[in-house]
Amino acid sequence: MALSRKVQDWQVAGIIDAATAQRILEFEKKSAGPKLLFALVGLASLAIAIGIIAIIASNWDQIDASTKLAADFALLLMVGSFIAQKVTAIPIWVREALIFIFFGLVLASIALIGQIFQLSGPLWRTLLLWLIIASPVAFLARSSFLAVTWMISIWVMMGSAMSEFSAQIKELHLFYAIGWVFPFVPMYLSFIPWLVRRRSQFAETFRNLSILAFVVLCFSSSFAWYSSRPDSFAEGWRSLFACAMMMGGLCWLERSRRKVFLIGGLMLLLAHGQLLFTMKSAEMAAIQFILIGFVLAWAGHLSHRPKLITLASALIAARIIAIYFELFSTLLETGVFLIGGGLFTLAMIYGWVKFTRFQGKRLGGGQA
Amino acid sequence: MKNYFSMNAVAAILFPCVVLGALVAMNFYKRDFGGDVWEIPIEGYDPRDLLKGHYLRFRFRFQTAENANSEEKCNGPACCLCLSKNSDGTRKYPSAIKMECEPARACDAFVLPRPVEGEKYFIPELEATRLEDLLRTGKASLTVTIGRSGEMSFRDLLIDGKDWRTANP
Repeated sequence: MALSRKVQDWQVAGIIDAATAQRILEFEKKSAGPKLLFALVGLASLAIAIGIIAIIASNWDQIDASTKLAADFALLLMVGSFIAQKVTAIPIWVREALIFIFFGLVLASIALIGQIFQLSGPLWRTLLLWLIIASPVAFLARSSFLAVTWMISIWVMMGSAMSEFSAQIKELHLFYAIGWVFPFVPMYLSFIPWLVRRRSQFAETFRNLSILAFVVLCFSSSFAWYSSRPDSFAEGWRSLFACAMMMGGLCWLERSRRKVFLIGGLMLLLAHGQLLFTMKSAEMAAIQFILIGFVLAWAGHLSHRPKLITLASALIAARIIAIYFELFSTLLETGVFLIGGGLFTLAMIYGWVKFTRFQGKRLGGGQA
Repeated sequence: MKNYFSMNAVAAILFPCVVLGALVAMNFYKRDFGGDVWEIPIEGYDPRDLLKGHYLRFRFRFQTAENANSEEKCNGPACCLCLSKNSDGTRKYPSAIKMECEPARACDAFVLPRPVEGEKYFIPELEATRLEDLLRTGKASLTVTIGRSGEMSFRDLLIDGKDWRTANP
């Protein structure tokens, strides 16, 4: 809907003619179809996979163990035989659904074996085994739905392992550094040449998930200002060093987009603010959050993504509103600072507009 | 065959099937042929909350024996258990001593350190209420296979010496 309005605007402005507008709309209509179809197929397959796991979890005792195992293996081989057919033999959406179901079925089978032989152990080990043996099948898929599911499963496994070892991790910097590994994992994976060449959808999805997780982690790190930790200065530097190494590795892998990684590095530095000081401060939490918001908006500006600027602005606005309720006690103080904050923001916008006009004139473009 | 199936996909499908098959075979061997079968009484980790969802949470309740040398005795979660057969040679409700793992290997059976948080025994969802009643009124025990390497595989849950499925409250 938004696109058709845009195309109409471009046509009215004389940028494109009616035939081009028609061709753009037709192209977008065609490419939007499979995306919706794959999303629906993914959701339906997810429901089926969870359903199978739930039935196994209920530990239905009316059927004996050997029959349950035989049925499970028969189901695995049956679904697998359809997946193994040449891509042209079955519709692509059916194949995607079957791959997703097979992927879930392997986890269900591990649960079934664990139940029958009364095996119990930490969740991360089960997930690790599942991901090792079922990943080759997952990478037969071509839709981003399975890429998202696979990556989330990796994160759940890492989180589960981390929570088990958290009692043993005495040094805070190590704990933080491990936490920062989460967003870097999919980004590094997205550089695997085979993935880039043969599964570009997976590589793109990993990259997007990585950016999303990185931004979420940067913003949420500001909440650490609410708790004070003694002697965290050195630990903070160590964690920052570990993150800088990870960011440096990315910078080396993609030399052409160094500016993007510079922004990432700046966000990382800001996100570590609470680790470099030992005090507890609600004000600093808000300042850090807002600064990260500004850097995100800058990233949106550089990458020509207006939606990113809008998102950053909305987050900053929400945080500013939260500050007033958090920091000031009386209605008079709240009112004064709300007005002051609003005027300050307007002044900043005025300055920004002036600056972009000046830049436009300097480059000979007239209007910015 | 090659015209109809993609060989990469066949390999990707067979890999988990083979690993799962091996997992079944390994656990089946460990449980049914991996060592002697012992019957050990169990007790609730928390008597008010013996059943958690679809599994029974318990600890083994060994009869303690005091015939170990003082240097072999051990305290803490890293200790092994040395199990001794009863005087009549049976393996029901054996006596046990906590000791260092190396000397424990010479015992009738030895058990590697068990999880600190207690043990789990999976039960069917629809039988949970009946089993809860049984556990409140009867004496629960578990048959286990203990291998030479000190690993334990759970077999059957017994209430007053009978399989819990056939036991009556």
